[in-house]
Amino acid sequence: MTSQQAVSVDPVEAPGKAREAANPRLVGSRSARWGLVALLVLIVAFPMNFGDTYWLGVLNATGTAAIAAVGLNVLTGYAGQISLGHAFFVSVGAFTTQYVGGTMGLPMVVWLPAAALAGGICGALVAPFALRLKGPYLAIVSLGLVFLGVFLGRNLPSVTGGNEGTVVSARATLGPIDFEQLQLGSIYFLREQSLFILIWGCLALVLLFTANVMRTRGGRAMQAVRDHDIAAEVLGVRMMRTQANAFILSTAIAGLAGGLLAVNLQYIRPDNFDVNLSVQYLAIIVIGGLGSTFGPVLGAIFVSMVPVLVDNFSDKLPFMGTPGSDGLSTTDLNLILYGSLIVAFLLLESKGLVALLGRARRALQARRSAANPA
Amino acid sequence: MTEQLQVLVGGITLGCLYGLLALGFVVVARSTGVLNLTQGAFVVMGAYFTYAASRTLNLPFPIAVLLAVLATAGIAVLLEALIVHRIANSNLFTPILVTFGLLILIPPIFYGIWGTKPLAIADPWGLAHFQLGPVSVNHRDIAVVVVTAVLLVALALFLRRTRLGLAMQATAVDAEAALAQGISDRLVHRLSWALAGSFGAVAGMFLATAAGGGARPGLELYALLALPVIILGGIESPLGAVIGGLVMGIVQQFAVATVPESFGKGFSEVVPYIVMITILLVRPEGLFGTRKVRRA
Repeated sequence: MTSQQAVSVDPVEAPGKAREAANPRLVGSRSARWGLVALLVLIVAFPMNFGDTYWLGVLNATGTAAIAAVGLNVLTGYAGQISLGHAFFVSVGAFTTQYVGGTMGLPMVVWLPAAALAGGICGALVAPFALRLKGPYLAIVSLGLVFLGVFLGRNLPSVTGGNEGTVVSARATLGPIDFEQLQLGSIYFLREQSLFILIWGCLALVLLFTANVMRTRGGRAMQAVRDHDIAAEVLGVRMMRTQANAFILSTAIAGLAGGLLAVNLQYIRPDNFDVNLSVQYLAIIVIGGLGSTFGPVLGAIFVSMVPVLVDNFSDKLPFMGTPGSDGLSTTDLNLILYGSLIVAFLLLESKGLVALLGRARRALQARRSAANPA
Repeated sequence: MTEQLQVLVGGITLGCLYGLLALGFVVVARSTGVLNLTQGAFVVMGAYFTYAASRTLNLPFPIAVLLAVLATAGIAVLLEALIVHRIANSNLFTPILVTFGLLILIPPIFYGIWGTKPLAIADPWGLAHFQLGPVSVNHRDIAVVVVTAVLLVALALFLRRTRLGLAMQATAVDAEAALAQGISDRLVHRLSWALAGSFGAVAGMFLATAAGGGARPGLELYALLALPVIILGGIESPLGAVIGGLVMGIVQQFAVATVPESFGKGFSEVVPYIVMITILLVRPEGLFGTRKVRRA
């Protein structure tokens, strides 16, 4: 088995990439800067004008999944290391949040970094084992991590509440700002609306951060190792250190996502963080587009819609079971859809939704320039 | 002493099952270089097809098993031909992800068709057992051990003595050189998937005949529990798969019997993974694997 390039850089974008790399600014271009401002305004403005708690709940779950997926994308998409164990690091962040923020009662400025730190430390502990391995071996070992994590979670009741799990009492407060009851002048936000601002705000920051890290020397080293490890080493990239960096960054983001997930769910059990959750994260980055900035976000939105559609339309499908009788359960239908989507995207569009959208945009531009040749 | 022997018998049976499951992974990994996670789905197919053939069609048990094995092997070949072959050589993790996608999508289809209650599959041995001195041995244990041994020997003979088997070996060693010698990689890949499907189906049938078993949801997870075995035995060694399986099964059964409660609930289930991590620290290529020399 040779490790060929996993996700090749789009040749059209390559000169832009080089310019970006030489350009040390936080946000690359003027349009990107305006895009960022527009995004931040949207993150606050959207929940102000949208009060449906069901859909906001779905979007908040989507946001936490997207953050976790950004972390996995660093490892799998950019550094080319497969991991089936991402759910473990998310669980570390989630339970750390409850322990630091709930049991010890510390504020969010402490527990949110603590969640990321705990995830990163676990990543740093696992990395030396994992980095000796490639491809299938890493997949197997990371899968083992999920089993070990669920086992530990069930048997450390003082931290995790054991099998029954624990209510999350950590408060999302930042000084006088309470992200569970935001107040802007005389406008009061619902809990879901407030958390939306917190979660999607964090997602925007994480996206900006990772996009920038990938432009740095360290980030480009990760992609070089992914594309051809030996060539990268010949060029002077220290492989072990680069891969360890990717691992730690990835798991720290997972820990952060776990913290937000815990506050959003308000109740967590060790069994929440099983193989299925890892599958979901993998599905997100594969469907969204491996090694792209917005792939995890698109993927998370797409993948989160699967269970929502299943919930809303399953009673109209003839082969679905009703409670108490045989037939397909909604969980099983979800799994079938996830599996089919992963397989379909890898076979038909291995660069995911991002590439699909890019192609659609180019086709549109081509038609427009054909329409007015001036 | 008697107790220990009894545990040993349980360990050998479990170990042979692990060996069967691991053989499926090994056969595919050897000749196609793919870690085929779909193996877990073959286990489910084996169990439910055996149920359908023996209970719904009322066929005699051996014929039912044979049909189940053939059906599973057939589906395995179809999956390889239609889906996996196209991406088998693309890069390291696309095949893993695709076979993983198949693993999560196939078993729920079976649970949707046959329901989620355990289904007894009309096995001929039931709870029958005989006394070997002070140790009682289930007929099923004997069947598991004999079938595993027969399959391992048959596989070894096939790989060493037949033209096709040698072709598989050649593809495993150097796919391009094998192609240059006129060996069809399609045939070899499909054959390896057919073998993997057969091993998985037999393992699924045996898992479904354990006491308190039956064809039931969750069978696909047994294949994931066998993954540490292929690390232990080396990912490309059939003999290593069976010996690794035996070691793992015996260690796990003794862990169940001797580890105190204080180690926590479900400790025995993570034993294979703990053994695996220890092995990886000491000998990453496994007991029978060969250290890979990479040249770009």
